[in-house]
Amino acid sequence: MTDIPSSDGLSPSLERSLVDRARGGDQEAMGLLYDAYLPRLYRYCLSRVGNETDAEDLAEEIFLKVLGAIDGFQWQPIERAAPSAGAAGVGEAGEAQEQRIPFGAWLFRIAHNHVVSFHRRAATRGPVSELDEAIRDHQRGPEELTETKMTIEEVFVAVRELPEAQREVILLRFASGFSIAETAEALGKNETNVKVLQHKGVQRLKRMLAADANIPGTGRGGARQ
Amino acid sequence: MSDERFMGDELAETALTPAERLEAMRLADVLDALDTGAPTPMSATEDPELASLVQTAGLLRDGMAASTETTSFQSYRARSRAYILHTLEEQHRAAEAARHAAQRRDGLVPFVRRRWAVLAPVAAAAAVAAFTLATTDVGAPTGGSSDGGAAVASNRTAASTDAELDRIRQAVELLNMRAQRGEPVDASLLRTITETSSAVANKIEAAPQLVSREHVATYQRALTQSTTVLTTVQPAAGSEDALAAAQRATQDGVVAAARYLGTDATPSATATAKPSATPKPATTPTATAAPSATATPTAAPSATPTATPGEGAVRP
Repeated sequence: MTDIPSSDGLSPSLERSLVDRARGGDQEAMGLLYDAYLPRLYRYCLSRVGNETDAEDLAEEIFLKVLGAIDGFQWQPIERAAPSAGAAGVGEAGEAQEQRIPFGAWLFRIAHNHVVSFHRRAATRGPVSELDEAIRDHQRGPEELTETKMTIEEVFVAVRELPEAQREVILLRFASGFSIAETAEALGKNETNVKVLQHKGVQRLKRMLAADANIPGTGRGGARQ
Repeated sequence: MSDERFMGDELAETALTPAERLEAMRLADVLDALDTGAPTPMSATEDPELASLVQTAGLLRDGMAASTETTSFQSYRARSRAYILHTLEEQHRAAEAARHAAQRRDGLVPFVRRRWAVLAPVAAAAAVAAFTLATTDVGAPTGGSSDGGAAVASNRTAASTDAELDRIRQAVELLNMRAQRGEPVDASLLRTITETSSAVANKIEAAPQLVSREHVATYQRALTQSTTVLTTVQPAAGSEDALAAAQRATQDGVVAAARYLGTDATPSATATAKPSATPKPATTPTATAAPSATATPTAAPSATPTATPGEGAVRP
């Protein structure tokens, strides 16, 4: 079996072993999967909803949903319509059938649907609050803290301004640490499309952040030129 | 925002010129190289546009990573982990119980169907006999049915006590796991320990006839273990009060259990009464029986080990 390499934390074989153990109700395995995926999932949620409280609740709900339904997770063969040159071995006959959907891709599909439901619910309650308290107690010096807070806020706000397709790719790539292949799998796209969306997203963010940095009075002009 | 629209965005976004597509591939290659630590196929002076995109990507990654490097996130992580694992464990137990119940039901129904032809005449005869016996007992002041009701209630109480003891055991196991890993213990787990300990202690104190000696001994063992662990664990931020409450509840539970076991005329060989002497000087006469358990080993060689220490305990 040639799993898509996991881009952060767990090796494919360890991940598979943990998932299999978790399906049998192994608490330690569930804890390790949680440890590996929580920061990535939390960053994804935070950038989608814009405030810590909702992001925490969402990440928790998603984990309960995922780990509670882990019995239903199956390592299915991956189907790719247009494999890119970067996906080694995918195009070779036989091997494509042996590749398996990574657990992370399955998790983020559930996360995506859950966040969409959250936005639907939130739409009936009113606008989602702004990302104004995301970094309240960063463990750095005061000056660096201020700079970091501005940067993080700007980054998250800018990402939320992106079109949906670009935003999903940017979040999975840079918030959740997914590889191109994993992102493609999680979003049900081919790798070429993911690369194109990534390029467009980064380009647009560069323009937005540069414009933001050149606002008079911020004292940050040219900081990220 | 539906999945259909999601795919629609993609189609709109991927309308690119060959040059743009090439740029996209180059950016992906450079980022992949950075991810894997390989040398980047890029020169900042020759390709400043690509270099600035890579810089923006780095800023994105760093900015997002910083959001999970805060103390508030670490605190949330510890709380949430314990909560999720605890919840999943309970769900798993409930599902197992439901599965076992279904298996029992599935096993019983076909059996009854198969045997009904044989059992029906027997059941009819039994019903007639029961009716006859019941009618002859009508004038009696205490009917057999009231005893039956008490027995059923007692069984139900025993079952609920078993469930409470299970919860205590599981909570203590989880607590041990946290302590061994040096992880902070969250308030929800501590509250579970407090609530279940207090519930069983109340039952022991208020309705001792409804708990068995085995229940109390099991309870005491679990609590003795947890009192030790509770002195060493690190509470999660904001869980200090919950920890103090759990410590008080488990100590009270140990005292209640020791009191129950000490007053019984047949002390067991588990020496579970030991903690009763430590926490509180008892004000009730029942507490004076606590030392009787320590006397058990000396009395053991007697011909009637269960009766002798009991008498020795009560008479002083």
